Amino acid sequence: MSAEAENAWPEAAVDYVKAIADTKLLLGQRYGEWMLKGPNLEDDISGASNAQDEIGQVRQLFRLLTQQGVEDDWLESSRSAEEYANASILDEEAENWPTFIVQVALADRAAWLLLDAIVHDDFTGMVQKMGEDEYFHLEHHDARLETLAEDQPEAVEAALERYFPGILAFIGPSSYGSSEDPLVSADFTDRSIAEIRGAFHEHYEELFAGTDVSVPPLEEDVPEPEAWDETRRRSGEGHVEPSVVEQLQGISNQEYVIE
Amino acid sequence: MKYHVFTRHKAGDDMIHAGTVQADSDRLARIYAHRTYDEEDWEFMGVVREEHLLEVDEQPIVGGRAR
Amino acid sequence: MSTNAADAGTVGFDIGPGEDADEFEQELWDTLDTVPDPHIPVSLVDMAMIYDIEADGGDVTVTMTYPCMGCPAYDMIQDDVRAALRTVRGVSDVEIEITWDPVWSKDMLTEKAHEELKDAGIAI
Repeated sequence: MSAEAENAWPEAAVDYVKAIADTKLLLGQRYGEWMLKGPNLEDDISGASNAQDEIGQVRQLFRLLTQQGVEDDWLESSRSAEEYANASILDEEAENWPTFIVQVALADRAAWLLLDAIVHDDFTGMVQKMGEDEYFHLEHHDARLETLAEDQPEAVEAALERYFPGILAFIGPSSYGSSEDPLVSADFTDRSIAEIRGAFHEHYEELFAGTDVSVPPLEEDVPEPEAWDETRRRSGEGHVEPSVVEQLQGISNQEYVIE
Repeated sequence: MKYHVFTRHKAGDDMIHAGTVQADSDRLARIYAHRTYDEEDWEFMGVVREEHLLEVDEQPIVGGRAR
Repeated sequence: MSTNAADAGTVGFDIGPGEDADEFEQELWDTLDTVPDPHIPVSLVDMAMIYDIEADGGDVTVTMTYPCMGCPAYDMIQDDVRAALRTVRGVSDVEIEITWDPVWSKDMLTEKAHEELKDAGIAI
């Protein structure tokens, strides 16, 4: 049953899954922060459930990563902020509700599409199980984005413009077309980055059709491979705040641990 | 808008009025109902907008003399 | 639907000891049948969370799943499984493998579990 050794993934796949896992780790954090700040109680309840779901998914992705030789301690607690490979749009805590919804909607959907593309045996059943959680996350975002597109279209559009370059970088570079995607070639995924990006963009074009919100075009924001960091799935050097890393690693709660 | 949440354990059971949710749209109401009332594994869960709940009561006959 | 879909609720997916289980493996199953799910008064075996138990000498491997991926009792349940099996004579080591294939579904619950849950007033 063990996936060790005989079942080694290509190196690019380890980076790919690490970036998905770190994005989900930060999603858990951001959902948690908003649990007490949503516009109504029902949104807060969903935030709490979403945070728990994300942390559960991270635990499974970390488990697979340790089977691939990634150090458990490093993943959990001995990394610096610069070593997290989360989607860059989750680096910052959103300052208001519409911005937050756009931020988590884009990040959660992109992470899901990357995960859903994986066809490696180690993920059999697991991705399906994660999809049972994700349906409710993505449905909640879209339902909220519909009401926000009516009530605060400028805020939604501004957030889309702000976060689109970052989320497109997380999805992947312009060069990973259907015949040049390294993970498709390695049979780790069966859907190229180009296809995933297209599906992602089309989803939001359809969601906002007939509203006052325009979705940014793809042309300008897809990163060129030279400017793209393969390990951290982003362009540029940014990272989460060290204070957030302390929370992710449980450093602030260390004094309460009962061994 | 206020929505009433109805559930049942299995087909053929009576419907249970599980509670209510406040939501800005039907789509949100479905999510909120699931998140709030899905502790048990219901065979069915549905939401009804409160304004769609019509009271069945006795009213004066139209055109008659009120008594 | 993901291409990673497992055959959830597969007809004929057997929970519990296989036909070829020897006395030792049967004892391991019986032992885990005493470990309760911390959320509800039903054993992990009746909850269909234990998919397989293999014994290679004293080295025991338990393959199990969870109804909920974000289970707050994730580690606690694994500790309970290890602690229970280590009391069985002949067990030297317990390994736990987590699987999601097939994905757990309530259709896998044993008839006994349905009865016990009904008695406890829990619908699942």
